[in-house]
Amino acid sequence: MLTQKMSSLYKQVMKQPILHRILLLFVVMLFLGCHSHPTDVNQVNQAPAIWPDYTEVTIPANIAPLNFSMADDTFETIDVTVKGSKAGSLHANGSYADFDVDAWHHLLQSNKGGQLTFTVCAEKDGRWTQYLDFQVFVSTAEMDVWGITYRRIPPSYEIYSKMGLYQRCLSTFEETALIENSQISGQCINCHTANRTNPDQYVWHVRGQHGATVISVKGNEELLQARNDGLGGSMVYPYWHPGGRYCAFSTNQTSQMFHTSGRKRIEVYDGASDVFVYDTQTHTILKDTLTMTFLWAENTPAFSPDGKWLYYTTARRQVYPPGFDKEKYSLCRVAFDAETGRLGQQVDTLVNTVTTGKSVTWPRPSYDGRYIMYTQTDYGYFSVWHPEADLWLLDLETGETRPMDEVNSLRAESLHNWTPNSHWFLFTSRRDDGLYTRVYFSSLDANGKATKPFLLPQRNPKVYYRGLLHSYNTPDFTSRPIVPHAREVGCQIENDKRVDMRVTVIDR
Amino acid sequence: MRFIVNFGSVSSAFMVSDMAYLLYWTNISQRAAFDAMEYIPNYNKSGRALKRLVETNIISGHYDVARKYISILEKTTFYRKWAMSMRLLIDDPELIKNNSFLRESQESYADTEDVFFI
Repeated sequence: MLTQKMSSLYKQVMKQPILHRILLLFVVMLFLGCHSHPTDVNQVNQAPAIWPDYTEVTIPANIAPLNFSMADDTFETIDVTVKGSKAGSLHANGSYADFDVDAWHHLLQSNKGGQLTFTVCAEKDGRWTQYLDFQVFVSTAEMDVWGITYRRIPPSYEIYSKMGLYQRCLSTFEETALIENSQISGQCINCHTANRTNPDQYVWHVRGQHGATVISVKGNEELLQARNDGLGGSMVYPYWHPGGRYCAFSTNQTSQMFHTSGRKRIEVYDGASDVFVYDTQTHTILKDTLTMTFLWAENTPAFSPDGKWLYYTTARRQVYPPGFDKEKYSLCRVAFDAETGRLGQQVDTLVNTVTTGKSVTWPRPSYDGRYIMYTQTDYGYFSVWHPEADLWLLDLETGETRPMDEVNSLRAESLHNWTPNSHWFLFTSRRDDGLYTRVYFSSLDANGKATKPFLLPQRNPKVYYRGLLHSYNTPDFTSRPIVPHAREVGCQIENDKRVDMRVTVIDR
Repeated sequence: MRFIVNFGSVSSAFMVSDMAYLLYWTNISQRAAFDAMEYIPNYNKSGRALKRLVETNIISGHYDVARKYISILEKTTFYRKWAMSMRLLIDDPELIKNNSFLRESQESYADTEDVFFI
């Protein structure tokens, strides 16, 4: 039918003089460039299936527009009206809901503590359907950061191609590369870790021929040796002491094995691991046999926000591969004296694998000192490859711990951290497709209950995330944008000059 | 039991992937295809590798990952038709039984003991 109409139209057009034909063509192109608007709308009593699922989420007033599409690709046009409970409205019409950034922020600022009501109409096969409205709640609590940093890397086995460290403004869709491995001879770049979102104090690693640990203290950047003989390995998972002088690291002899069947693909494990503290003032590695035991694997350190405790995980070492599902980590803490850089005498166990039968990894204390959020898996610590990995919340006031069912899914959740005001947190999840990790945000209310998480907004999220063959790795908030200086640091990495480090050992 | 898999180039990784695929060693084939794609020096991606990743993810039951790769291949000139045929299988997994190789591979995958290879 449509073909016949087109053919008839074509014949009529070809009878016109050439100038008329050009004019008609111009008009047709203009027509094609426009989207249709709802007419003869059929109302249905169901919520719209949109992607990403932003229905009933709670957002900060400074977040970028929550653009979305219909989950079903066969919809041609979507028409969305947003009304604020206090003031203002927005409208978007097109193949996806694309809100104007400035108008969006104006609407959010006008509706802090209120809610936005979304009315969605969608067109399929020339017929319009209007769905039940849904709400998005605008929190009064600020997300007191500029944006986030992360590594983007293919979720590959052993070979990697392009990867890099990036920062992303959370109020817009702007992403900036801090450094990509194409700028440093294709070497592997590891996690960027700032001190409480401070962009002047960070650490990240480069692996390979020109390996280094790049560490910045108050804006003064140094390159440390990638491997230290006195340490017996590399500096791996870091966490800054709030005072900024010390940084705790684990040192890991990491390997991986690959499953031949079942749900899981890869098991990343350590042949051995220990925890130590690095003093940035004296360039000294402070080893302590308390956290460097032979038969136990200490890992994933984190300082308490007051700097008086060092949290870490520890497991009895197993023989791999047969013991792969028996290596289960407990959450422990030991006192830390920032005057001397020394650990205390006694280790407390906060979450004991003997009791839970599970494994703890990535403890991240909230900066207000109230909670520790951690990932729990059935075994091991490298949680992104564990579909059962879930976020748990340990309340340090009551000692109670619980799974965060409000944010967990049937797929892996992990790699989380807090905003400075400890109201918002981010985490990565593979809930979308089971393989590619994405960044989600949520917040804790006064009762410690988390709000429904929402996916990191993108201009056209369906197209962006579908085409993205990278995972988001170790995301964290940054209070201010980092000034990229990839060329300078790339040159330093390639010239192989490294700061010498001393090692001191406290043998107990 | 361990299978040791080493490949040092795009072509050898593809060769391993092809051989393992025909031997019903689905996860080895998948790893080799993924690594083959990552070996590509100019960081481009490979339609051939994505095609294999669709197949192996269908066999292992990871339909959502397969769907992601299919949506990419549906945008290509030469893999589009094939990708659309695979989408039909994922949308209705019962249809996989009509594809003898995928059906046998799925059965073999389900029967395979989960051991490790490195």
